[in-house]
Amino acid sequence: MDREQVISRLVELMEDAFDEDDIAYSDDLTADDIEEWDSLSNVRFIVSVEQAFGVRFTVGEIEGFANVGELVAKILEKLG
Amino acid sequence: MTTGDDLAALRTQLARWPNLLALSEVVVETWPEHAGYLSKSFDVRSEGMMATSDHVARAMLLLAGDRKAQVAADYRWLCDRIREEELEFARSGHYRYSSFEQTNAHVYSNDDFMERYMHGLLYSHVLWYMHASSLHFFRQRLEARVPRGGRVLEVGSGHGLLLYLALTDFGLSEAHGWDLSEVSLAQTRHALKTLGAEGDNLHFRIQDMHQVQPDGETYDLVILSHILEHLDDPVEALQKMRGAVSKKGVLFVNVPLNAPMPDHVILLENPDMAADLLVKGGFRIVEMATHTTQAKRISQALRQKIAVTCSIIAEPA
Repeated sequence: MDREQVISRLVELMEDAFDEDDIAYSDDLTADDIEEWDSLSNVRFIVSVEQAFGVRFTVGEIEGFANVGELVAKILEKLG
Repeated sequence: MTTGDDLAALRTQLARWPNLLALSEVVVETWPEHAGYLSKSFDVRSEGMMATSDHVARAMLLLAGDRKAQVAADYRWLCDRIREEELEFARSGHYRYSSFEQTNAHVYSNDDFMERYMHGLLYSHVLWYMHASSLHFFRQRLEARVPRGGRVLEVGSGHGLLLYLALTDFGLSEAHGWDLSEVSLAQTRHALKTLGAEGDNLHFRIQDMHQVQPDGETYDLVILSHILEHLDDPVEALQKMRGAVSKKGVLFVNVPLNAPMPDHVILLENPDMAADLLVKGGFRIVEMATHTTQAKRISQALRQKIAVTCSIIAEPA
């Protein structure tokens, strides 16, 4: 799976988790940019990412993501 | 927005609610990043719910006494624990423990854990929309259904808040608290005294709901708030309690859906499952409301398995 495919799937997961249509992806997108993205919906989002890509994040990794770009990079790293 | 901006916005938002502001400031001092969450939580509340929240915040500040900062630290600790439970719940689809024996061994017998847990829950009554909304429902919807001068029983009366509200808001004259632990009963007695309720109209006793014997004692209002989800067999407990509700009395239940707290063992996934418990326990539902985390739409909360509290008013069928 290449970077563009990861981003495309990730946007679908974000739209579902945060109940928003047409999220415009950028690497520096953060929870501050999306109304419904709070600590609770973040848990659901991260687990949906884990299930969709077949990966598992540590608590440290989850708390360390500064923006969506870092999440994409970590997914690609775990997918090898 | 910086956390400083969030705090300034919070102060403006709560200018008319001095107790909520005082409690929020204590929490934000310990946990600055939480100001934005609190602001969102207050923003979606009606004027009436804000009045209830401020009323309850006053009680919470009195109960915290000179430990306000420590209670705030324990509230943050509780939120961290819940995030861990949420992660495991989202991954596994079930709660960590599935029996009272397990929660008793891992949670209830851990005194340090329980002290922080109970402290943390104290502030959650007003800071979490879901809890504040269920308290507002309690105040708004029960008064007309219980006779002034009547008797209230709460099983697992904890901080004593609902007994206090039943005595002061509904004009009930006699309050009874049951618990499995003498320590818990002493805490309820002390809390009610701190809130200004004391006297020979308050009665406390060690009593296991499963062991209730029909003795003719009945109550106009029986409260089971956040109790059923902790039990191995909530239906049996409800069946035992049915006889304690007076002929024209009501049962008030708060029970959560999809709420992975460390000591919850019964997983209810939707309001129908909650109502079904009451019906199997021998009750007829009179009124029911759902209170979602941060006022999310109920459809979204159920779809994403985000915690919801069901408040149910019922009468013996």
